[in-house]
Amino acid sequence: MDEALAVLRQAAGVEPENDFVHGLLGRAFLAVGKNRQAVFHFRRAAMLNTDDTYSRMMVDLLTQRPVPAEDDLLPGEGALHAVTPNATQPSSTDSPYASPGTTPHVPTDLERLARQEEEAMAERLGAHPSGRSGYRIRRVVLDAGHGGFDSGAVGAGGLREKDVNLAVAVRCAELLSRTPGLRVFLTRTADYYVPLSARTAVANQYSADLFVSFHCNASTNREAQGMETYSCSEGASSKEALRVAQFENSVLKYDPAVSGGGGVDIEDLLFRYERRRHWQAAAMTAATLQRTLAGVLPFPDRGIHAADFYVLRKARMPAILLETGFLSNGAEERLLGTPEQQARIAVTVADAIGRLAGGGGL
Amino acid sequence: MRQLRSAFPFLLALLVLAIPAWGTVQPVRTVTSAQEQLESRILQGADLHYRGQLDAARVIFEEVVVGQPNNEFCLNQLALINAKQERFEVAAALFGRVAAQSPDNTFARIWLGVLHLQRGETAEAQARFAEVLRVDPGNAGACYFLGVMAAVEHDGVSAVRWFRKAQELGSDDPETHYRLAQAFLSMDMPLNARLEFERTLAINPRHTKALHDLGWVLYNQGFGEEAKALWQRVLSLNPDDAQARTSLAKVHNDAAFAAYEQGNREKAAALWKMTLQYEHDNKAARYYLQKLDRQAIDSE
Repeated sequence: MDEALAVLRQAAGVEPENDFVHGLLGRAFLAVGKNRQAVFHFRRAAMLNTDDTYSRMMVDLLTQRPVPAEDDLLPGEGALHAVTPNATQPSSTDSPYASPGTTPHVPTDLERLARQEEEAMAERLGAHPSGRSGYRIRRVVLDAGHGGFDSGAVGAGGLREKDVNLAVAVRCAELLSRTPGLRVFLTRTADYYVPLSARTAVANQYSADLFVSFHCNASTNREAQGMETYSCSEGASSKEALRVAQFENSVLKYDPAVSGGGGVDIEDLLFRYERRRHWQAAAMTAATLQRTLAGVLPFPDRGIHAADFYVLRKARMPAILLETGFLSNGAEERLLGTPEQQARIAVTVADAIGRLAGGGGL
Repeated sequence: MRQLRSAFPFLLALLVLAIPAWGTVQPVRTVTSAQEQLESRILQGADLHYRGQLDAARVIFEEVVVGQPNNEFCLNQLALINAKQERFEVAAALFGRVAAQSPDNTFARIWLGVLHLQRGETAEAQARFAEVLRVDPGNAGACYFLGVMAAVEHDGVSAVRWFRKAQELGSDDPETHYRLAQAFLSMDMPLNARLEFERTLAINPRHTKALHDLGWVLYNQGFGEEAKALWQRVLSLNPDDAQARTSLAKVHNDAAFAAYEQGNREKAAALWKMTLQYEHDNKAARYYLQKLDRQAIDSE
């Protein structure tokens, strides 16, 4: 067996991409009880030939439990893990990063710069350690709903939702940008239309920790009034929440980027977990903002709701939507049109977000 | 490359290896034809599973575990198939059976943790992953999932630590590099993020999420053309990738609007037409192209 192993190792040295040789090496190491090396070569074989069911199965079988370290490993043979325990893509040693022991590695410019960046971050973290737990907020995207040719709701007095949304979002951004350690981005900075898909693209572009979309409400019932806050959920929390979501999503008939489908694998499960956690954090943010706004604004408190808003669902972070009042209500339209009321909303929201960012997490 | 197989020493090696490797994994007292049949069925089940034929694979493993109720590999495979088919309770029960009978079966324990995450039970999941690390301190999988949990909390520092630990323990999985890159982004460390996205792609050049996200890192650093090339590459791998389409549409729409604002209508029109190549019904591009057409007619 030792002779066979020596020959096969020599063969693997000559043709490192030969899946057949790696499969045989896996069997040989298995036969002599060297499971770690067996796993390495079975994994290589399965990676090089995705139809090699036997090798893949042996990886799954052997890695069900700890595989003890062995002392006669060749460079690279200690690399044991494909992390996701689903026996999907076995790991490669082709990459210069995979087995740094195999060849001396000369750092690239990017690697040197990344190292400097990491050292600077370590220094910063050392100077300002964060001991708190919970969801962290460092980057906020503020979204002024509608814009350009899409006015959104329009009041009887002519006040356009897009203008109120923009004024509040811009003012809020100005205030938040003064908060140390917090970065703020706007989906639009003037009166132009931004497709819904592009709004969440901005949030994803900057890896935002929180997405806040500003809107004004409208109803065929002119008496309807008050402000409310929405977070995302698969089902609407009420008929009214469903109606509002349908109105805000109405532009979707123009938006082809809504798609679904796909099977379930481990990353799907992790995605669901992540989304659930983000929706939970969003619900908590919504509650905080609603409570804060209700304590300051002269509008009735309509509470927090959940519904399936496209602009919230597609964001890869907690996302909420504020309806800051009814433009269909004459009194609220008049107030929402005043710079004082817009500033009050902006200050209140900025204050609440600032506290969430600097506080104990969500 | 097959020339190796004609070499004498290699044939010798083959002869030496003409042993039932399967039997060495699960030692049997006597290799019987029934045993061989069983092993063949397990291999068949695994093959079907890996090829995505989950129903057929499940039937085989269900049969096998009737005769071998303590076969951990088959129980784990059956549990995994049930998880993939979203029978999470059945999966948890099967993984639980393995965990109860085998104190060191880390695979079952890792998956029990993942199923806890799926249910939003983070404390229970964390306890499972910690248990795995007690059983096997070198388990990169447990470190990876703890990293995922930290990353979901946008706790970049902890996420980086866990993903790095997973790598130190031998993981060179593209997902670890990809998630490490995202953790760096959450800490405003774009250079490290870029490096890790590139490492992801060195291992798996078809990793569309890494291609897409690397595109934004480059775009944010001022490399717009490189970013667009990466998103185009995503579309060449998957023409329906909504994220890449959205990103390409967004940057073209933004550029078009900027050109329009500067009075360069020709350029704006060309860019909005490109926007529509990526989002056929992009409302902004359609509106402004119609507006430009109307303006052109009026000026005539």
